[in-house]
Amino acid sequence: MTLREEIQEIEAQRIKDVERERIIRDAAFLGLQTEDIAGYPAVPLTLRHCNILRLKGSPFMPPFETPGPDELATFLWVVNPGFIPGNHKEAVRARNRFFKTCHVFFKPVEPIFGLTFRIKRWERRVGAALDIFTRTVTAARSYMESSLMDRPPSSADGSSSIEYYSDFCHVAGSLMRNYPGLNYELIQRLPTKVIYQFLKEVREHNALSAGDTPVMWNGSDNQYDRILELLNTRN
Amino acid sequence: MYPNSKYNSGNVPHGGIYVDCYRPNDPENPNAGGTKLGTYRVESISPKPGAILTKRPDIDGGKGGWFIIDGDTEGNAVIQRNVATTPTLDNGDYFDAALGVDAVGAPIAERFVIHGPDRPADAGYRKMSLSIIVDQNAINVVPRDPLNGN
Repeated sequence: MTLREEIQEIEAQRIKDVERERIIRDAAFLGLQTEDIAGYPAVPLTLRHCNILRLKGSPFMPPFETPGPDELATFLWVVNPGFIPGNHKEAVRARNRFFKTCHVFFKPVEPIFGLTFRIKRWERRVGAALDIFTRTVTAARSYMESSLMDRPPSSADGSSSIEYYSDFCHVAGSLMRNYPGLNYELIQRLPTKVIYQFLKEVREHNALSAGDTPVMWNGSDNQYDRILELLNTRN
Repeated sequence: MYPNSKYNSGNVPHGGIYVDCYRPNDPENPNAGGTKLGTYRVESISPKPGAILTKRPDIDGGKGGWFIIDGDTEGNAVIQRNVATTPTLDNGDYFDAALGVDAVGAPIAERFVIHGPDRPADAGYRKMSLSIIVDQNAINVVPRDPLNGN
């Protein structure tokens, strides 16, 4: 493949990425009530969900680690439309009811007597559970990726700066300062896809107001990075 | 392909231009040549031809007059780099590009000299916001399109 062809291929991928980003951004403002994670219903991710997931140490939150079935089930429960927080009787009952639907991706218990036909059947069930688990994790990651697509940038080397207050405070403070009328309660319920777009707009507006050129970043810009790498190593 | 995508001609503009950036070998004599730093992507650039307006009012009540002389062409730009293959840009680095056209439609090649680049330390660290100024005395200004090598 020539350099030109490789660049055209990356460019085609970039166009797809741009199209996807545009659809996710526009759809965020349609007020959709539910999304789908491999058959599991989910509400649009909010900052409240992020706080709960972070407190639980969920691997679906940045820096995104490998989840197990327990963590996947917990994640699906937190973003489920029927999620009830707390440990009171009603919450526990609802949680247990939901967790039963997650048994399909847990490894089945090994048969006590290792008869060949039982082992074979168990292996088939393990394979099926693993397949469902993989597909659900992929869908959950895609849900998170689209929900956090426009989140404010973190440091280049992955390290985090010292925190003096919660991220939620930062986001809510920034939005309330720039959009009078928004309040703390409403911001908690807004989807992150909407909030992070507003934060980008604030960032751009503030830079322009200060006479600076705003520097913005899209995930699709990674494709430009690939083109630049090709041009610099092959040209 | 996405649900509401019915047709994609693939002809979405690049949204930027690719340029080769150089660092002068002798800053006192940049026309003597420079060392190529690599290829960068200019995401946005806004060169503005400067002008100096001088007014000469006639204090005796007659008609006043004024004249304009060219100032430097200056502006801002956002440039993206690949961190693995190219260095951070610095004051005095430059690139050649043809952004305008003259009266007969021929491209005007100019040398844009960089100053005041920022070095952001966040996810957008691959993009730099910087200022540019056109070198009016540059010679051998030959923009190259790194995409096709011409």
